[in-house]
Amino acid sequence: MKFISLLLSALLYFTLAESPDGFQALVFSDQQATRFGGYSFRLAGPDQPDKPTTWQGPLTIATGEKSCDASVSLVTAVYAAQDFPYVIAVTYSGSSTHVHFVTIATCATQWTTYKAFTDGVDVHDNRLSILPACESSASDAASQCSSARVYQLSKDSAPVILRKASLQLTREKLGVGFWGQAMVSNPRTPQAAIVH
Amino acid sequence: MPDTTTEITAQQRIINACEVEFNAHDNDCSGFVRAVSRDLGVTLTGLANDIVDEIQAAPWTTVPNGVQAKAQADSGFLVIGGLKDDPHGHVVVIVTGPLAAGKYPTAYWGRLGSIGKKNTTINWAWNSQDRDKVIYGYIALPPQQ
Repeated sequence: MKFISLLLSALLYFTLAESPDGFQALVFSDQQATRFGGYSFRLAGPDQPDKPTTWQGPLTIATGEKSCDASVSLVTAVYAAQDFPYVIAVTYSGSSTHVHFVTIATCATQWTTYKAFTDGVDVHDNRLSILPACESSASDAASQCSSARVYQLSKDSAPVILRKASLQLTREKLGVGFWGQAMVSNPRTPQAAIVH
Repeated sequence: MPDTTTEITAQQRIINACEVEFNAHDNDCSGFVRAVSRDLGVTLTGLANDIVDEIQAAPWTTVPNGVQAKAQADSGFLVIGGLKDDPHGHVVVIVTGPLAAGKYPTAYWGRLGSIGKKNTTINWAWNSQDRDKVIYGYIALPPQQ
């Protein structure tokens, strides 16, 4: 009986693991639309036709006869989730990364577009993580660092900042926890410290 | 009559410096520009926003657009393009090469969270809202030691 119960649990686990829930990155190839949830998504202007990493945009979203363009430029990733009415487009300009929430039905940007100085953006399941980053003017100088920001994503409302998770991710990546901007000596080392 | 041999050498020196420094600074725009400048005998200090200020003051000379920036790079000057931002701006090294859309010059740059770009027009560094606001400054290379 116990064996059957374990077997059923294992079967249930693997079925769920094979059915991805939450956000996942759309994979784009040149000149071809990517289909997801009854919509097709196409990014124009790849940087290289064989293995694109950035697109000039726009992002075209279509279903049936209807189509619209989201005016996003220098796009590096688009994330979509089943049953969510928006996709997340990650773009950059200069040293800033932008995270846009694009309504699938209209291509309009909703809520605030997040702007960040970041080492990268991770969208996994229903969490958006903007990684912390640092820049220094010399190898022996303190770095000007931006904290991580972690948001909980939901279908119907604006992302909610998770301060504890943000602080934890900042501490995990940089060695010190803070919110916003900080001058940090020796970030990413055991000697990391906030400089006041 | 300009000395064409010297001009070509200056252009190539700049590209060579970009190639030498790229791997070490491909994720750091200001570090890349500082390193390339240092290799060429020109001092730039600070982060990207500081560098944008520096290239707008003597002994640097500014030019108003990418077409003229390309012309100075083609003539063998060290040309830096940059745009201030909060909290961090962005800077690139303009090199001799084609213009995109007739106005965006070719450059090398590092970029945080990425690997920067080599020998690529700057419409891949800044988006359509920012790329026409880029500030360009140029300076003559000091003679080789």
